[in-house]
Amino acid sequence: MDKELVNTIVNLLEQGETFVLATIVRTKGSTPREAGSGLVVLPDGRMFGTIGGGCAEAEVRQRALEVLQDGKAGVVRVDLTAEVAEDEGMVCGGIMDVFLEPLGGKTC
Amino acid sequence: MLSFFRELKEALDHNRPAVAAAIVRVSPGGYPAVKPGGRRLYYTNGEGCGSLGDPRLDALVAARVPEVFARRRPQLVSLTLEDNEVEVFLEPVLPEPKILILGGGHVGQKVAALAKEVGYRVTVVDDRPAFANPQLFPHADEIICRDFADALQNIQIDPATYVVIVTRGHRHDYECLRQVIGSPAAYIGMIGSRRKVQGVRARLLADGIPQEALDRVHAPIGVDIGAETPGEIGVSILAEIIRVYREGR
Repeated sequence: MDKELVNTIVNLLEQGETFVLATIVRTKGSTPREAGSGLVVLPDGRMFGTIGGGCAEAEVRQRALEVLQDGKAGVVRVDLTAEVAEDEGMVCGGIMDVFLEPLGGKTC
Repeated sequence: MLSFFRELKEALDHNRPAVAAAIVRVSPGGYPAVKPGGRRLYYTNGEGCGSLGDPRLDALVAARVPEVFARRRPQLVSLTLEDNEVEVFLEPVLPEPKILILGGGHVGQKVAALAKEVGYRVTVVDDRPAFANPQLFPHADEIICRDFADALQNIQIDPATYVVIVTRGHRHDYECLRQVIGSPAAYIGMIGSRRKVQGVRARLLADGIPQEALDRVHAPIGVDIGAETPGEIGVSILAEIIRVYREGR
């Protein structure tokens, strides 16, 4: 996790914001970013950091918003190998496991 | 969780080598205190901050920390705690490299420019005002115009420091190496032909410097890519530093 994202997380927690931290914990095949890359998703959909952009990030953002609703941390798999991915222009061809975790607000 | 991220920020700001651990998955029916999102920061000196929810789990993970830090890559590990499977993500917190260039000549100038390009912090030392100046090192973070021995006494060398010895002559290279060889620097490289390097090594051995300490020194400096010009040599030195930083070898 890079310095800038850690600073962002500390600031958000200090301001009492609720958000989801998405961290790539495992990759297989070619993925746009490596394990350790992180993304912060706020309830209004704003994001800080990146796990590679594109459709994969959009999917993670959607799952992160769901995590904000149910409050449960867990790992989701993003598959960039499917045919549909190629149709959408996600051509990296790998799989990434992303840990989604609600932070801030009451959980802090 | 705020205290964990504050501690992580501190570690990054102050270049403290560490490994950050986060529980990402726990098999159903485990311990209530051990749950996804539990975090602990392990400093490589054995200290730490936070808990993964169970002291036994904290200890199991602690045993994996040296390997993760040495390999310099994040790792997802599965651990068993009384029949329960716990998946923990371990991420090394690598201190940002600080490049200490001893010698402001052609090679030193190229190394400084390339190191800044890569995003590292750069300090240059030379005892000649004509070389230790901002015209030759427009992007260096610090330029010290002083006798090498004096300057080195006032520079703190820590495990995030990468020392590049490229002074104008054998005598200065020898003096600089002698002074930094006992430091905890991540990297020490010295320029010179094999013959010159042999000579300096022999002198230091005679001075009582242990062989293991000499074996740590990268000399001749740089990755062997047949570099000839100062620019090429600079690239080969930076490549070696990046390899040590990212892969620990």
